[in-house]
Amino acid sequence: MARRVRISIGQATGVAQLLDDDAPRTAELVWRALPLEGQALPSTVGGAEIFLPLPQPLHAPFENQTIYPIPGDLTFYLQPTGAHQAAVSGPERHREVIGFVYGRDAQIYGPVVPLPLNVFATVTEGLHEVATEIVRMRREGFGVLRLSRME
Amino acid sequence: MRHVVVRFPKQGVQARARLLDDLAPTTCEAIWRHLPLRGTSLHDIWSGRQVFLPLQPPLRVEPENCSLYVVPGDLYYYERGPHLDRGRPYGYLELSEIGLVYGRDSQPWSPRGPKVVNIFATIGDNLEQFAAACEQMIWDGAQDLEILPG
Repeated sequence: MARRVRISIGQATGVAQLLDDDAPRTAELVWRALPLEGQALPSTVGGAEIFLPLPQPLHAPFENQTIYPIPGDLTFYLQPTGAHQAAVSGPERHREVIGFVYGRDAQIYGPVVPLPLNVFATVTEGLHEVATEIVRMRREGFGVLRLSRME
Repeated sequence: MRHVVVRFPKQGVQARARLLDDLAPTTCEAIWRHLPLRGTSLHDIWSGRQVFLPLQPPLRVEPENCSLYVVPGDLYYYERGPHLDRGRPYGYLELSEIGLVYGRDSQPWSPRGPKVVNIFATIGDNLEQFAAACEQMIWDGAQDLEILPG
C-alpha cells in the first residue's frame, strides 16, 4: 500500500499518495523531511498552484518530471529567484519548493520557459475541499499549509 | 492631459497615471466617463506582478492600442465574453477588467494564453509604494481599489 501524506490548509484536509514507484528518491526525501509547514504562497504566473519554500534543501534529483501538472499533483521543483517571484532574497539562483496544483489551467513558468516539476504524490481524497479553501484564501488571505505523514 | 488616481482606500496608498488619450482615445474616454470606479481587486494568478479590478457592469470597448507586452506602471483594459475562457477564471463567467502592472517579468495571461490588452494609461509617480501594496495582496488577498479622476 502506498505511503500517504496529509495535506492541510485552513479548514480543509486532503490525503495524497506518494508515488514511490515513479519518483522513489523524491518521495523518500520528502517523507523524511515531514512534517513541513509554512504560510502557503499563491503562484502569480502558474495559475492554480500554491507553493511552500523548503526550509532546508532536499537536493532531490530530476525525477518523474513534467511541465504539464494536473489538479492534485504535489510537486518538487527549483523555483528561480529574483524579480520573477515574490519575497525571495539571497544570493541563490533557485530555491527548492513544494508545489501543489489545485485546479486546471496551471503551468509553472520560470523567467523564460515552463519549469519541469518532480511529481512525487497525488491527492486522492479531499481535493475539492482543499481547492475550495485555497480559492477562498486567494480573496481572504493565505494561512498555513501543513504536510505530514499518515502512519 | 488627463490623469487618474488609482488608490487602495484601506491602506491610503495611491498613484497617479496619465491617460494615453492620443494613443487610446476610445478606451480613455470610456474609462473617464465611468469614473469613479470602485471594486474589489484581486492579484492575478497567471500574469505575474499584476492586480486587476473587475468592472461591474462590464464596459464594452473595442481593441485599441493593443499589445501582449506590458511594463511596470501600465494600466490596461481587457474584456472576455461569457464562456470564452475555460472554467470561469476568478469565478467570473465573463470579465471586463482594468489591469495594473506593478512589476517586471509580467505578461497578461489567461487559460487561453497571452492576452492582447488595451494599454490606456501609465503610472508616473509613486509606483514603488503602490507596487508594495499590490504585492502584499499575494499574502493578504483581495483589496478594495478605486480609480478616480486626478
